[in-house]
Order: sequence, then C-alpha cells, then structure tokens
Amino acid sequence: MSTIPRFSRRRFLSVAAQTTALAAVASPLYLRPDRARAADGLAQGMTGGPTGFAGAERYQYGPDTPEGRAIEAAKALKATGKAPERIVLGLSDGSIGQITQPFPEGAPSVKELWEAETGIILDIVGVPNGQEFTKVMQDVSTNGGGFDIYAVEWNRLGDLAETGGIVALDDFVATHKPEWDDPERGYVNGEQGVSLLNGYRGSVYGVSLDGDFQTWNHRTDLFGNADEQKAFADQYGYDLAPPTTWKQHDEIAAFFHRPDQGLFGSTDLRNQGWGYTNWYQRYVSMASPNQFLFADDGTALINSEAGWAATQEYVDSLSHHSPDAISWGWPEQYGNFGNGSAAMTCAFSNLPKFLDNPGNEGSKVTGKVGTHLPPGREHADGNARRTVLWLNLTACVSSQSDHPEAAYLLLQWLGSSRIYSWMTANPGGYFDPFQLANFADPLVRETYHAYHMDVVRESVRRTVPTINYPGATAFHNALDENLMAALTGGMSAEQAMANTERQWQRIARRVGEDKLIDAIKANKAAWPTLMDPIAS
Amino acid sequence: MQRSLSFEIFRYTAIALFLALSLIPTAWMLSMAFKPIAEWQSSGVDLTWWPNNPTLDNFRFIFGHSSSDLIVALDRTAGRPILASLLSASFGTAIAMTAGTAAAYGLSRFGFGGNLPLALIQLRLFPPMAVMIPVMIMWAFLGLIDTWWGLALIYGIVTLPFAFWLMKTFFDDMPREIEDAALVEGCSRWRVFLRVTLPMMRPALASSALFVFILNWSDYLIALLLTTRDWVTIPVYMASLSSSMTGQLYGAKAALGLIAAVPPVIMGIAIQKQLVRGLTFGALKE
Repeated sequence: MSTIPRFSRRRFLSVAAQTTALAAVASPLYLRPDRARAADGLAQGMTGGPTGFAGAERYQYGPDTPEGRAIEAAKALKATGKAPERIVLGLSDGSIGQITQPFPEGAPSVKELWEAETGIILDIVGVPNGQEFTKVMQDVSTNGGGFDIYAVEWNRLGDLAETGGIVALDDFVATHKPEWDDPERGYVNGEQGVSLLNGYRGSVYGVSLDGDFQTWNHRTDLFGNADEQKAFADQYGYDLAPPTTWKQHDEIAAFFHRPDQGLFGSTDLRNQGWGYTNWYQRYVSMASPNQFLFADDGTALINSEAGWAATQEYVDSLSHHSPDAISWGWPEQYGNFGNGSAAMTCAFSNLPKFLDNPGNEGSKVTGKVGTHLPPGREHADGNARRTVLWLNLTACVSSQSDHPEAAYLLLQWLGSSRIYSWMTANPGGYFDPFQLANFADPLVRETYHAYHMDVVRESVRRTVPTINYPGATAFHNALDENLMAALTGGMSAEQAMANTERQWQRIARRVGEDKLIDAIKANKAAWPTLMDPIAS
Repeated sequence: MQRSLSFEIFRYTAIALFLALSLIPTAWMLSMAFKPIAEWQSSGVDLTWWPNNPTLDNFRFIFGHSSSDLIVALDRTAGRPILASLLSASFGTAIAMTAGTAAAYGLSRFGFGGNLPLALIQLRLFPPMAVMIPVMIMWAFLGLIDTWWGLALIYGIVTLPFAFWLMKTFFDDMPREIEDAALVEGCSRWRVFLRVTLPMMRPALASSALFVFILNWSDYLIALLLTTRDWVTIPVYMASLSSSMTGQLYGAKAALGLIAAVPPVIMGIAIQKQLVRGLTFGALKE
C-alpha cells in the first residue's frame, strides 16, 4: 500500500508559496530597498521576526513594538531563571497547523520562531474541535494544571473569570504595552474592540486569536447565470443579486432550492450548540439600530413580537435547508458548500480560504464563490444589516500556570498585528483575520481573497457580540435548547421564547442581577449603530 | 407441531426484515470505507450503495497521515488510538472480570458481603457522567489523566457491576453438588474453584467478558474526559476526523469504524462456541 501522497497539504503550501513569490516579483509593493535583505535575514532596524521569504519584513519587528517587547521580556525572564522550560497551550486541533506548519516556503513556523527567539519550548496540546470549553472546565475543576494557556470561545471569558480559572492580565498589559488599539494596525473599533474581545468587567482576561465574524457567501456562477437571472426576475419582479434584506434572502433561497438536483437554497450552522448564532442575526435586526436581548435594567426582551417573529422565521428557513439541517455543524456545512450543493451560506470567515482554493481539488466551487454583507431589515432610518461574532477563539492564561507572565508574553507576541498577520495568512488552520493590519496584508488577502477581505472588514462594522456576561454558557444553553425544540416542532415560537425568558430570569437571579447589569451595559456598548441606506 | 405455510412465510419475512435493518448501517459503513472522496462527499442525489471506484485511500489516510485524493493531512494517525483502545479496553475487562468473578463466587457460595450486590448495583443506578467530576479530580491527583492504565482502571470500575451480576447469576445456576464432590475427594476450596468451577464457567466467562469488553471498547465520554493527547481512544480520535477543506471525513471515519469493529467480531468468533453455551447457561433448572 503506497503512502506517498500525490497532493498533500505540504504540496499545497508549496504551491501557495510559489504563487506568493511570483506575485511578489510582479508587484511594485515589494520593490523596496530592504527586500533583498529580508529574504536573507532581518531588515534594517528589526530585531526579530520571520525571514526567508519575500515580504518577510512586513512581519518583522523592532525593539519598540509589541512583538519586540514581548520577546525581550521573555528573554529577560529566561536569563533570570524565571521563565519555564515550556509553555503548554491547549488549542483546537484544527488551529494547530497555523502555528506548526512553515508558511510561506522558506519561512520558519510560528512555533520555531518563538522557540528560536526565546529559548522557551511551545508545547501545543490538541483539543477536539467543539470540546475546547469542556477540556478547559475539566482542567479548572480538577485542578489538573495541564495547561498554561487555554484557547476558548471568546464569550466564555466571563464564566472562566468568575470561577477563578483564568488570571487578569491588566498588570502585564500595563507593563508590556500590546498596542491592541493601534488605529492603523490594531483591533477594529479600537479600545471598544479590545474591550469586547479581550475584556470582562473592566479587566483584560484574554487575547483574541480569531475573527469569527459570521460572513455570507454565495455562488457567483448561479447568481451570474443569465437564465437564472431571467427566471428569477420573471418570478419575483426584481433583479437577482446578493440579498440586502431577509425578505430577499428568503425569496432567493426558495428560488434556488432544488433538492432533487442536489442544491439547497441557503444553509448555515443549525445543530445544537452552533445553530443559535443564526437566530441572532434575524433577531437583532428587528429594531433600529438593534433589537437588544436585555433592557438596561436586565429585563429579557426576547419574549416579544420581535422574538416570536425572528424565531418563526428561523424555523421557516428550514424549508430551503437540508432535510437533516438540525444535525449540521460546520463540517457538514463546509462539505456541502464545497460540493457545490448550496446557493448561499452563512459561515465562518475562512470558508473562501478553504473552498475557493485551487489547491483543494475536491472543491467544486473554486472560482465560483462571492461574499456579501448580511441581510437586514428596513426601518425608517435605514437597513439594519447585522451579523454576529461567534465562536472566536480567545486565549487566556490559566490561574494554575506557574509562569503567567511568560504565558502572557507568548500571547502578546502571537496576538500582535505583525505575527498575527503572518500566522493568519497560513492556510493551515482556523485563526482568522480580525485586526486592521490583517485586512490590508497582501499575504492575508491572497489566502483569504481580496474580494472577501473587504466584505469581512465591512461585516465587522455590522457585527453584534453574543452574550459574554457571567452565566453566558447557561444563557446560551437555555436559548439553544428552546430553539431546537421549536425547530423540531416540539413547541411554538412563542413558547420557545417564553421558556427562554423564564430560564434567563432564573439564571440572572443566580448570577446576581447587579453584576449582570454592569456586564449587559458593557456588552451593549460594543453593538453597532451603523444603518445602511435602503435600496430604492 | 406442524406450522402453517403462511406462518413460516411471515416468520422468515420478519427475520429478513430485522436482519436488513440491523445490517444496513454496517453495510453502509463497509461501502463508505472503500469509496473515494468524490463518492462519500456527495450531497445526496449522487449517492450510491456501493463504491463505483473502490479504493484503499481512506485506510491510507488514517494510517499514513495523507492520501492521494485528500488535500488535508492528519497531525496524528490512527495507530496510537487503536493501541490505546486495545490496552484500556482489554485491561479494563480483565480488572472487571477478575474482581467481578471473585466477588460473585464469594457471594454465591459463602454469602460474603451481604449488601455487596446492592452496593455494586448502585454504581449503575446513575450514569457514569454523574461521578466523573470527582473521578477527574482523583485521577488528576493520582497522575492518571491521559494514561492507558488510568483509563483501564476506570473502565474496570464502571463495568464491574455488569461482570459481577452476570457471573453471580451463572454461579447461582451451577450445581453445588459437583464442587461438594470434589471437596469430598480431598480438593482444597481454592483448587475446586480453579480446577472445577472455573472450567465449567468458561462459557459464562466468555460471554460476560465479551459484553464487558464491548462496553469498554465503545466508550466515548469517559475517554474524552480522561485523555488529552497521548492516549486518546478510537471514538475520541474519530470525532476529530473532519476538516475545513472537506467537511466531515466520512470515508476516513467509516474506515476507522470498520477497523474498530474487528476486535469485538474476532473475539466473538473466537469464543462463539462458548458464547452460545454461555447465553443459554442456566436456562434450564434441574
């Protein structure tokens, strides 16, 4: 039995690197005096960063950068014997490749670079996708001490902080200055974005390593087909184009829904644990600028006309989805879309990276993927087009770590814009772009596609955060269970919202309403206010 | 008694229907295991019962990191998880059977531990998950997390009630007169147990061991909680077989499922003779 692969990931990376190199040669962007030096070593004035490929200088850093300060501080810890031999990072299986696989050709891996510059071994323990929080809670509740760093969904920070499982990073942030709010390179929405992704009740508890702004994709071959356009216009009386409203979305989905031909109208995540994120989009756009989940005094707002309508719409949308939609997580969704079996889908922002990809020979949609802003609802002052932030891996330092500062320094280095841009451009994993520098980076734009990056950047401005208050896990579980009951016909939309409201009230009492109100206000500050013009 | 033809037709039709329902999932797994990616990734309308282009690629993939058709590569192959499953399930079965058999014999013959049956069955009155948090704390304290022997120990504990109750039923049904005869002939109690009772219990031991082994072999939740990297078992490893490029790796999962079915099947075939006797052991009382 031969084990020699004809087209492995390694070869894919090689092809991608060669393409990058060709583009680099052709692009005036790269015609800079330090290019030749960067190919061999560090550019002038730089103290660290990757080398060995054209354009490497974009990811190199000097002493007065967040990355440079992190490395110098880690070296100082090492020199004084205060650094560990190794830092153990628990990370979802699918993300490991971006840290361990060299990219592009000639470059070291992120792990190799960290170890070479600091002398501290980075030990990555894979966690099955979707089991991140389970594994973390296992380590926290058993005092297992198996990890220095946990990587979990961003809105678990509150629960982990409240249980004492992770440490506040404020002192380290003040000392080492990560510059996450840099207006040129940092997080979208500056300090507000940092607070949303890394903070909890006024303290920093995590470092974002992801950009899971749910993004809409469509098939350009179907939307651009003259026969389809004519048939659609004849049937609905307007031109076929990516939808700007939920009404248009439902009509286009119904138009393309042809299960007998292996084509679903519109798909998304729908199974327990994942599906509720797509309810969010429908619900939050019900009012202008947003339909909130809670009022400022902590009263749940979902058991209302808006909640019932959004839930009913969510249930009805099964009509243009797969018959087994309620068992769909992202693997089913990606497999289906890659097989050319859906006209539209709402997915993590990395879908085009994996499926509109010449290296992915199994994909039938390469060159046929377009992306668009989320559908919205028209109100008097404009169209509220909203998407949602979820799952978004955020790394945090375990309170059981013997070396929290060294662990933080690794995260500052990984999560700062130069190293993160280089890492997220690597097609080998799930860390997605979220910083301004990432969206503009040529290598990232090549991996993720320029057409998509601009849409993601604009989607970020329309993104609603999921619940990140204390009790977030319980709040979401309650919502999730009732939505699943509605999807399976076990209860009506009204009953589902009424049940959720009752459960939320109980959870709120348990968590402590004062604490909750503070967190709700902080969460609301990050909701978008942008309204799009109503199409004429 | 002469059965009518219509009854026979009904009987065989029912058996055929039941067999078909039971075997369809296995047949589907068998088919998927030998399908190339283009066939198992199909969305529904192109699905076929049997592979149009049979291939061993799915097996190459799980044992060799990569295959000719799949762009994705695995960080770890299936070899180690198979070893982890074999070791933990086998030793877990050995622990449960040894302790269960000894306890069952003691209770059946001498009435030792009057409340033992109730105490043991309490282990099964609630799902194993209910006690997993304290177990995780103990295992972490003892350094048994992510070790095959830690997993074997918990498997032995969790399946002990099954082994005990099955074996107790068998011991209760075995005539004591045979043991008494051996004792009269001068055998020690220990020798009677080893040379007389256990050989007669071979069918019972075989069927109980197979039952306990299958329980251990198919566990997902305990292995998920008590392993992290080095000793993940087949079910946990199987859950990780998906990728962004291809979605669920159904072909690879089917190939691994087929391999996972082999040990219980081999075990079943090897003890088939004992198994049939074991399943009917004690069915008739003298």
